[in-house]
Amino acid sequence: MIIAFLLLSYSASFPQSSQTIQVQFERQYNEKGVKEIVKGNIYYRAPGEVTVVVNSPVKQWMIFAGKQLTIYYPDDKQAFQFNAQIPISLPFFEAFIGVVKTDYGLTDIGYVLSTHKTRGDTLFTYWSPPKKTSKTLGEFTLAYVSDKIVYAELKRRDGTTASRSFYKNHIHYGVTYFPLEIYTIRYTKKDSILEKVVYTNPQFDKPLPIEVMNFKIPTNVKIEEINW
Amino acid sequence: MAGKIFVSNKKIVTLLLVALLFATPILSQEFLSDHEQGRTDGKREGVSDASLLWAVVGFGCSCFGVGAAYLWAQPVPAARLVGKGPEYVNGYTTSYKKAKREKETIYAAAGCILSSIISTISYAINPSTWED
Repeated sequence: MIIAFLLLSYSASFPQSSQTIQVQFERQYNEKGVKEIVKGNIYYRAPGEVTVVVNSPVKQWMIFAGKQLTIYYPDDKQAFQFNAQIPISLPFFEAFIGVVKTDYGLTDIGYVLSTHKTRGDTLFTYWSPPKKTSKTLGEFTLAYVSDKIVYAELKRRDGTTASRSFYKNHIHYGVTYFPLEIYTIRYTKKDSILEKVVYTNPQFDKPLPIEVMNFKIPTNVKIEEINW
Repeated sequence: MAGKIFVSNKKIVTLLLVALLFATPILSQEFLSDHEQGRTDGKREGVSDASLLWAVVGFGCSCFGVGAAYLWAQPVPAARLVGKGPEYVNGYTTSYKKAKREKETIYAAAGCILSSIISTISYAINPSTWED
């Protein structure tokens, strides 16, 4: 339920100020003692299309377009097309672009600012969940230092922590500070999941590569349609 | 002498069988295909992601809650497919949605059954409250 809510919420927070964003990424994911490292590039095109081109450990293209997700493997000449009833999104990238909104998009999804306080140079804001999710989700906390988001925490209804994120190494573009390093810890019943995403070489409002702009699955590729 | 050799051989065979018994899970784990790994992970994570809230829905909405649990739109766990090969994606998607939906339907059904039991007991204790 928490994942469903976060996915729905993040799909409403795509920025309108930047027309294109392209950035290299390295994602480290640690679950149950197993470490995975994925490297590639992400291309964002307004109003909401995201293309992820993975270079390692496999060659993979993922195109997010509303309720449709296409996954293409050029080396294997295989593709999957997911048709969902709700928008499909990529949470770890939306944590990066979500900073465009001053409240991280929380107001758009029904959260209400309940209180705030300052501790030194850090501004903490505390948000109450919307009624429709208040049975599962609890308070959301955001922390800022000089307009840069540095910390986010989501609690469950019972007060336990569902996840914590730390944002570092910000880059300034326009009026926004984009975090180039995001560390997230997700707490489950039995384990903790660690995720570290490092972004490099970000480019804003520059033309995207032709192969991304004009991407089409070759006709000789077998496409498996999955109605989700 | 022949008896000693027989006992010795029997011990060796027993030891080999015990070693094989413990080695089999390790060997099978190492040779789990991408597809099978995807299926295993999809099933585990589908069950883990299932929301207990559906038990409340089933309790409140009875059979409609059970139907809703089965038909409710499920989000695609796209982040878990990043960097995974086609065989893994195939196995994962096959089992994840099915496992999550089944678990949530069970939760809703359990809530529905509990609601029915409570209603029945309530009627048995005091039927007059159910009459017009």
